[in-house]
Amino acid sequence: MDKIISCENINKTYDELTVLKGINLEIQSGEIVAIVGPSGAGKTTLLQIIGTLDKPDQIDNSSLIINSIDVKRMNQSSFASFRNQYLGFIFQFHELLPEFTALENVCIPGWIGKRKQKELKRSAEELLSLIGLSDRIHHKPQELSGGEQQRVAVARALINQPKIIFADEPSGNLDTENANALHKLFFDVRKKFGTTFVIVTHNDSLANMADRKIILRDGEINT
Amino acid sequence: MNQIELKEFLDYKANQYELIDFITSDPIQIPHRFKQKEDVEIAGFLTASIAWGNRLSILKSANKMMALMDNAPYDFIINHKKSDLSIFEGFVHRTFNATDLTFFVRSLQNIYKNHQGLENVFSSNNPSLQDTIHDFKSIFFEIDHPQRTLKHVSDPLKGSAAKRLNMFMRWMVRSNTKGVDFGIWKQHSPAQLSIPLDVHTGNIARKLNLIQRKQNDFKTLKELDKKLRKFDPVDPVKYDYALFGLGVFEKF
Repeated sequence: MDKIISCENINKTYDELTVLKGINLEIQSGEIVAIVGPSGAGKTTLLQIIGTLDKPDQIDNSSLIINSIDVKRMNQSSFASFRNQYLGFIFQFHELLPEFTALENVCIPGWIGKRKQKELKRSAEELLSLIGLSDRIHHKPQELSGGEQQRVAVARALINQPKIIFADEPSGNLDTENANALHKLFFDVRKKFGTTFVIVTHNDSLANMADRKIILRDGEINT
Repeated sequence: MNQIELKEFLDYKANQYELIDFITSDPIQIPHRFKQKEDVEIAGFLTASIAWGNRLSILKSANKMMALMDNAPYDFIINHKKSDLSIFEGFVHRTFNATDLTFFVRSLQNIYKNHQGLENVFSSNNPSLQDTIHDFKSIFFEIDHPQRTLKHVSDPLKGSAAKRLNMFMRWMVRSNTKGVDFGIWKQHSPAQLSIPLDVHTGNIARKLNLIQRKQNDFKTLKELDKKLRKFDPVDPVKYDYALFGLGVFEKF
């Protein structure tokens, strides 16, 4: 497998408080990695940084390489298209747009990426079928259950065929049955598309299913 | 200035100061960093709770609280274990210290796990929000609590103007049309709100002859409420921006 994420000496400081302390990490393409650890350990901050949603402290000997691209050298205007092309995000709260149908919600990142309408719609329908929602594509989020909404969010994260999906507590708001179904879906997606997953979770079952657990404590990786 | 002219003046000033630029220097910027309702509520509640004294110091302490919770306040509140709470050791904002913050976090976990969240515990059939704030305090301290922390949650029925809780309610309830307040709590009406009365807004209100009493307490709040509701019964608390702006920016 090839390295898809590689970071060295990632630090994050707010005023005098250091949240991340010299994180070194490599993640292989197609790997499913769970980031676990106590609340306040810096899990979300780390995910936000390697997902390019936040910036690490600017220090000379730190680096963040994603898909062979040196993120530190990218300018601000390149970030949005980089994220849209290579990265997908799933959060605890699906953040689907309430006035759009499931199909339209899934299409949104494709519209932003200016993909052709017909091909985009077909991809969205295929994805919604893959996640078992082919009969719900014209429903709006409030007409779907919590588990279904979160599956739509997964399809939305996949629509541009990202190399990596970053998920922050993806099943935190679901009951056990729906959480298990969502976790299985991650593995089905990896099998079908080779997608890499980086998941912050408090869910032991999901963490134990992952290829690797990264334990974060007091801003450092426990080895 | 007669009452009509005074109303027009205050309407003008409220409109002038309720601007998105207001956020950059105000503690409300802390909850504005979040999108999810629960994150906004928790960040807003904790920030409002320490909102006294120098504004830069409030922002610094509130940012530190968020960073200690990994900038994921709802996640921290819901998932933290007792052992995680040691992270707050050494935190202090004036008289609000690590013991107080630790209890606030524990109590918020109780509220989100057992009372359907902050919006729910601030909702009731009370005719006045000040009664609701009184009820909130009982729920907030229903779990084991340090005696010292009681002073950090005000009770209008004991004579307090409850400035910080009224400010928090303004943030959550007033419409976000102008991009400052959030308007994410739909079970309340802006007409129910009371102004966050403190020494500054109190002094301006006295200079404008809106109130006569000298203390900044619950009785004065009622006096001011009555007056401002005559000016705008639907959204009386918009005048908080007028009084604040006149005091801070115009040194009225």
